[in-house]
Amino acid sequence: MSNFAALVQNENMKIYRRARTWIMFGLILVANIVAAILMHRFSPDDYAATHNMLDFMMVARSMMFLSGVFTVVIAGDIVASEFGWGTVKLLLIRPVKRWKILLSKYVATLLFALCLIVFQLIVSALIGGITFGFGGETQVEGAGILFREYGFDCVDLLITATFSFMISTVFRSSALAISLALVIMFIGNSIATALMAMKVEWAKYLLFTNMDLSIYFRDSSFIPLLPGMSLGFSVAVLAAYFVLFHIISFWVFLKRDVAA
Amino acid sequence: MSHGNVLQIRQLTKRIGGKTIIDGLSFDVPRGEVFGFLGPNGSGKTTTIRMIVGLMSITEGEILVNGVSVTQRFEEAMRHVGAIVENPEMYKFLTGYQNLIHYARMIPGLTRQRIDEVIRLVGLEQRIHDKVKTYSLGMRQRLGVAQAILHRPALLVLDEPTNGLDPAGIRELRDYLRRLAREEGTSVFVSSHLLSEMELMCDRVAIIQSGKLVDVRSLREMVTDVGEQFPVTFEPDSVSAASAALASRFPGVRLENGDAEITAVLSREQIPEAIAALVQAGVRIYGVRTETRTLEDKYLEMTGGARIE
Repeated sequence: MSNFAALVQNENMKIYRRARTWIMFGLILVANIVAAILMHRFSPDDYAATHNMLDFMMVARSMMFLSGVFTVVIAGDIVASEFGWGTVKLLLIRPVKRWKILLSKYVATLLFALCLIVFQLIVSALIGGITFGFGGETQVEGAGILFREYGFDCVDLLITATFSFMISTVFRSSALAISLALVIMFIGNSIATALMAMKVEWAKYLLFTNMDLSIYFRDSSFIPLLPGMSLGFSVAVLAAYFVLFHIISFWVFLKRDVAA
Repeated sequence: MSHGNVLQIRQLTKRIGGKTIIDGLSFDVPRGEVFGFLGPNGSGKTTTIRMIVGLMSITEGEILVNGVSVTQRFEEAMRHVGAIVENPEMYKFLTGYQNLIHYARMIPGLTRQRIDEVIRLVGLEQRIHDKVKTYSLGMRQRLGVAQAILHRPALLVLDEPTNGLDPAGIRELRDYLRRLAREEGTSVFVSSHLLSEMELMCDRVAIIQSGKLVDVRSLREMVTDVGEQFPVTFEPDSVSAASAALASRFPGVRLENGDAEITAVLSREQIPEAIAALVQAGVRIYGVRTETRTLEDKYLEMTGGARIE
């Protein structure tokens, strides 16, 4: 009955009408500026001459962790906060089916993540261009590689956000959702590397062993893959987790008795 | 709508983990009626309301709004329902107007003009573009009413609406609900544990105790029950003469003699007979007073005090 786009619009309003959202964008901007300043100060004298915008964007890719954290915060908050505020009682009594409301929240979360990534790209391109030059000598072998790297980060971000969204929906706690998702983001990779180095075979079915798809495109010598692991395998495992997270989120949200 | 009843509840049952919270509730709310849902805390009022508005699932039975099942055709049924469940919690970081826009977007075909109309109706014109966090509780309550009536619902469901309101706010809300029922034909389903509130605003009241329906009555018949006995106090010139006259006219009647008064427990129809008997016996009567029971007495009697079982 109701227009789905209007629901997404509502969720967007609830994201972008809060000051914290704009602080997030501000922090990304500041982080990129600081990175550029530091690079100029602490790199060899000829660095600026042999590098340009693309090189800075490659380095600034590490700032994607900020986008990751902020996406996790929004994803972990978007359902839980409605329960926390008590507004869920007024939200779910509208002539709109619950799955549509949940889906609109998920879509708004992904749109927010997309905004952050695009913002990061634009900001790092501008700052890189201004400080290192938009053209000229570069060490990056084509913009394609740059976008591929950012692409891998997006996969990571999508899965982490979906996980955070699920925890938020199931436990109705923003704090739990955000912290668990951050744990996965930050130590998941280390655990994965450790398990893989120890040749623990079942580890290949874990979420975080498969999160970083870039390992299949790098020198494979320093991270030994577990037997049976391939790009296709990892994509399949990620897809399975992705679907599982959604089944859990939607099932719980649709069945829940709202008593809060 | 051709249906006489806006809300129909049939054998409504809710069990949570083997415990029966609501046990076979059935009642109807006709169009334009203010229907009170009264019960002590923990009797299942809020659970029932949450099932009506689809926040909780129904274990057994059904709820129909304008003849449409809330479980089977949720979107269609909720099109006709507006509600405030407990306190109206709003998005505090948004303005009142943005909050209303938010809910309006969830209902197809709702115009900006209607939003403005509702804002005028609840008297929030001056502050509607301020953030909700700056609102007083009374203003939030008004905004709560505004979001509930945006789509001109046939049924307005209010859960303990007077909680936290000052007397002026309560009065305002009460007058408003009565007007809505009278002028727009909106049925109002309102829960409360405050009896005095119910007496002032409801046409009929359902009393619920431990998840079971104790009684559904119109307020008038509830307070003065036909055939029911209540204390009638006479002021005669001689208490002893009056006592004798009443005892001979109504053998076995419960009498209580005071210094200048006598109280007999009689039914409504017995009062004129008692006066006639007293006059025939030559007793001069200076006054007759009936002690009509308040809803509160009735309620306490029906629920056996406000015990939570």
